[in-house]
Amino acid sequence: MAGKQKMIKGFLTATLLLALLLQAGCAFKDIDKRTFVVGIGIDPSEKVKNGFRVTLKLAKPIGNVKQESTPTYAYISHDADTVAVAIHEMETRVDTVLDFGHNRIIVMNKELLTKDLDTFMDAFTRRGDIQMICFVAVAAKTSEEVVRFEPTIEAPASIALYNYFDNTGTESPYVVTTFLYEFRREVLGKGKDTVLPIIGVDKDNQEFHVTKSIVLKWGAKPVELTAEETKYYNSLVNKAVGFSYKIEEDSMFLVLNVTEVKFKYKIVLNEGDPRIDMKIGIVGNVGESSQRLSGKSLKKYDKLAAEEIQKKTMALLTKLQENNVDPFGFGLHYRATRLSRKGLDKEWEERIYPEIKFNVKVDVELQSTGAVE
Amino acid sequence: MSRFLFYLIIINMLTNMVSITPRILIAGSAKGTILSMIVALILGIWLTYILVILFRSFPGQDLPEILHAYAPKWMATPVLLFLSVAWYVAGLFTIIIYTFIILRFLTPEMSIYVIVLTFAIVVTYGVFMATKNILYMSEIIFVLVVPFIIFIQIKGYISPELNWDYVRIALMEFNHLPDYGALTSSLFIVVGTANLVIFNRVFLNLKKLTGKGTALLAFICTYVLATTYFLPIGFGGFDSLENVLYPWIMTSDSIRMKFGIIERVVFLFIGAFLALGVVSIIIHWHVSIQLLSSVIQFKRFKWRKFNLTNPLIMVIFWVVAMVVTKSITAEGLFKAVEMYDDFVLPALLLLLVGSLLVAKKGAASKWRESKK
Repeated sequence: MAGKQKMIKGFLTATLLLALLLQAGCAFKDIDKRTFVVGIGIDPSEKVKNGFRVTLKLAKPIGNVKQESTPTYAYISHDADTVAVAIHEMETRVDTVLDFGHNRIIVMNKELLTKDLDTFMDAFTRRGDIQMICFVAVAAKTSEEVVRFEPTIEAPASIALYNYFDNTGTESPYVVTTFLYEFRREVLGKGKDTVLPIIGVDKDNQEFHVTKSIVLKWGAKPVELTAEETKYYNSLVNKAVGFSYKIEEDSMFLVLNVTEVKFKYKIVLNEGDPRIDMKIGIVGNVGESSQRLSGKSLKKYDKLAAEEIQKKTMALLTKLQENNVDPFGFGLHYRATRLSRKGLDKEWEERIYPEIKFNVKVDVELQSTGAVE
Repeated sequence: MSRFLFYLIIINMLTNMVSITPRILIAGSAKGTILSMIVALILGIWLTYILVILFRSFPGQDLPEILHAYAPKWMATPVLLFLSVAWYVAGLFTIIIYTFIILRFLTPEMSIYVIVLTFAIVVTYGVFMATKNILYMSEIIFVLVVPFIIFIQIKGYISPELNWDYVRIALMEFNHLPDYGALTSSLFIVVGTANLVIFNRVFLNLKKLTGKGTALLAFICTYVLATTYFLPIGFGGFDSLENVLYPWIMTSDSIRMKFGIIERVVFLFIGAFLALGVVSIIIHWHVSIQLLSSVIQFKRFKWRKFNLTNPLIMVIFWVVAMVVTKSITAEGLFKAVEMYDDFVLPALLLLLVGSLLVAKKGAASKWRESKK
């Protein structure tokens, strides 16, 4: 009896295993049937009215990185009514499946930062396979140029553009980083306007220029920030360090290297005119000097630096206020510190923010003169 | 054995984290989710307390046994049938949601049937395990998976991209009256204890919730509920999340390990939650099948000495799951879960507590009779 049962069990197991043969392989396509998209660029189309020109950077599968001398990327561009249609039509132009799961950057044309921005960005957040942690950037001229550009510094099988952002490679206060989820929450939500890096291409020197940025408020005209303004914004909001500052006095100069930024602010509404009290603390050391410095005289330079930084910060804040954009998220903070009620965001945007005064206090602390006095 | 009670509660809580619940909570974010969550927490812990006390008086007995012994028959059968269907649907929702998530984020080309079948086969094996072994299995999965989940959540909490101002805005919405929908769906998260209807079989000496136990339970429930609601808002924004179907998948996709082995945490996250999801479905369907077979048992439907009623029920479970998963839309699922939370869940809890009270009374009178 026991032997018979064993036989039945064995038979059942065998049948189950044989059933696996009916499967025509997995539903999952192997890597040789996929092409990885590693960059997306969107421009307004010249051929299709109100359409888009989508450019994709595709990674070509290669056997050995070391032996490769030709570029390892291919590029395709396509014009269509909408982004999703363009992507689908491009799928017929390559022999394998386009896989967006590894894409880390979406570059947009400046002209597209208008009111119907959400309609084409929607295509990206709607497909589940595009990472929410991919970078969003704006091209200085056209995004096709940015996506297709290969700087000389780009190593085979690596993508130079990725390394600029989020301090993965370069660490610079000139580079702001915006992820797709940040972009989405700030464009669709109220209270904070999103800041996107501008990527420029320098054909003569064969390099990218990522120094400027653009403040985007949905439905309004975007405001461009210069490299200097970007640096201030980035070091305050994102605590980006590596920022250096030149102080000049009479015949001497010294360069201050910032190692730590502290930034706090408070919205004061009940004492006289509405104002924002801002406290900026900067810790750093001397990076270069035209003369010998003693530890004692550092206090004097602290003050000099503080005054200059205060002026620059004020200029940035007033510029943003005049253009009625709010990348610092003051409006958000206002809503976050008040009991909810209807129209809180409108009230801030229309009544308080255009009138508000800034009261900026800067504290600079030079910790050392570096390795020499 | 009491720690197993915690596993039942926590697994139920965690699986609901990625399901429709956060979406319901976020939908009510400007309408009183905060107060609802607080009320649900208190209500949930109170219910846990009551249920534990009630089941304590019947050590080692499951609800069918209790009802058949101490309650009138006209009452036992419909109650058990209703509970069985309710539990089946709870498991069904989990299977549908996880199938949708796999389909959208992991393998878009795969057939729905294959995914459901994969689930169903693993789950079937689990459902037919002994009740005690299911608890042991849940412990193993719990120990393997929960560290990952907590790691990802901590990673999210300490991420500089998490904007606390959005979280504060959500908190500042506490000046609204509780929202019924948000209340019941947060209640669903907290009442994993209800699984005792079958699992009480193995709790021979269920201890009353002590002060320490209650504090721990309250802490865990608060943490999970708060994380379920606030972390997606911190990453996805306050105004912009209402049209997101799976807020937690989006959130875990926003968390990154910059220099980690896998940069995109979402796959780790989905993997961990799939394991929990399978355990949750096994628990729910195990309860359901046991309740159902206590009412319906075809005596002559046999193969040798083995009664085939349970396998037949399981096959029906499969077929229904496949048909429903194939035909339901995302919006239909959302509506269905909402309805379930709003109507079925309160009815279920009332029936459960009510029938236990009746049974207790019956038991007391029986005991008195036997004494005479």
